[in-house]
Amino acid sequence: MSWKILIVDDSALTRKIVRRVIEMTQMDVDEFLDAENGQEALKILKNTNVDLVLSDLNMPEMSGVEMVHQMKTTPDTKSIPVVIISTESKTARIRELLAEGVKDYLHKPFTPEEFKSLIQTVCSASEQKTGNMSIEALTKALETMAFMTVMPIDDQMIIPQQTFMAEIGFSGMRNGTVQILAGKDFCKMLAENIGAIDSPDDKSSLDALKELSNVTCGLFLPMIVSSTADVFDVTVPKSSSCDDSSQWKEITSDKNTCVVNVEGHAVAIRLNVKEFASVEEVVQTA
Amino acid sequence: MSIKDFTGIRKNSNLPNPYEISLPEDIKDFFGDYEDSLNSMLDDLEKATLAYESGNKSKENSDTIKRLLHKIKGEASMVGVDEISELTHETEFAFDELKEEQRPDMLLHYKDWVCKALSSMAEKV
Repeated sequence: MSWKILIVDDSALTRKIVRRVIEMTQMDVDEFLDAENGQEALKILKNTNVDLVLSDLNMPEMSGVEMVHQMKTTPDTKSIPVVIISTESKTARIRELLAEGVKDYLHKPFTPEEFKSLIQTVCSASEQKTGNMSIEALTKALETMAFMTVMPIDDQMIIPQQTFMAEIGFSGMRNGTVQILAGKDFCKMLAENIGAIDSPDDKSSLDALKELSNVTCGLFLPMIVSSTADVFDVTVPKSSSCDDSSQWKEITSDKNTCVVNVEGHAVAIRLNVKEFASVEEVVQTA
Repeated sequence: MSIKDFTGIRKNSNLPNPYEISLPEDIKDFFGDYEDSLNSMLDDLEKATLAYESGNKSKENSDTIKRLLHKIKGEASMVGVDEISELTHETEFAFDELKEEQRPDMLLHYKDWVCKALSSMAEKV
């Protein structure tokens, strides 16, 4: 990938040094763009496709905080990765920005090695998509179906120890499975929200997760196949539970898994799709 | 990171010798840019400080001083001049801690130290 990087800092010297450090990593950079403050950066972002924004916090005219806020609330710019470069350590302000969707932060000064490692994090985060589905589509669907708030991923997110998993299969022009893995507490919350159950037990919690997987699969099928008419069958959801973190580790290490943060709880969604070679093969299989 | 003590700026006491400032290894490529930028910021800081001393204690002028200190600290940190970065960090604290009438002297003391340190670095490059 060839990168277009926007460096936002009111110090021309800092912009120059940041650029030099990036050049030392031998990263494939197509173009460096410069802005002296958030306002200038937003103007550039309006007219140019940028792959990564590196921004200082304290700048005249418009700070990095305000710039991030405007970027994350504008559809055209909200998915552009932003990394904060600052002399501040991990302050509350930086934590707030990370919660708002900023990918990471680098403490000034930083070395080419530190930058390289950061870029790997940014790349793996942006590649963490499931098949044809984007994380945005998944989070939107979860938000809609679970009546819960999907938040940016942060360090405070609860990674489940005891997990419940619901799996639903589909077949047609393509076949595969959608698996949703979540913690017991999350599933209880889900049962309270979806099933309106006051004190959900394990069974009703699992049922709620199955219901979520059913609806989620239905919602995603048009994105997976060209039309829902290409799907011949959707299986009844199956469920399972696991009392240690092994299932979570296994599923989240799969590149087809995306993790979302639903009201502070980590929820993993894995999509396995097998595309048929031809319509004839589909007919024979059916 | 330097182990010199710069807390003296808060108490109007002695600071380490500015002529003994160490020169970062990789600064040669950037020194000209750094020197120009720092001199320009120090000029602006002096103007804002003199205005402050003459009675302009507005939020705008105080913010200008704080922004300049923050920028000087950021650039020093980027080029690896730890002594200036640390002294500026202490100066930012001192500005908030000291009484209004004590601030101009402290800032001019700071500016004087940084100018000497910069000229010492220029000789070593």
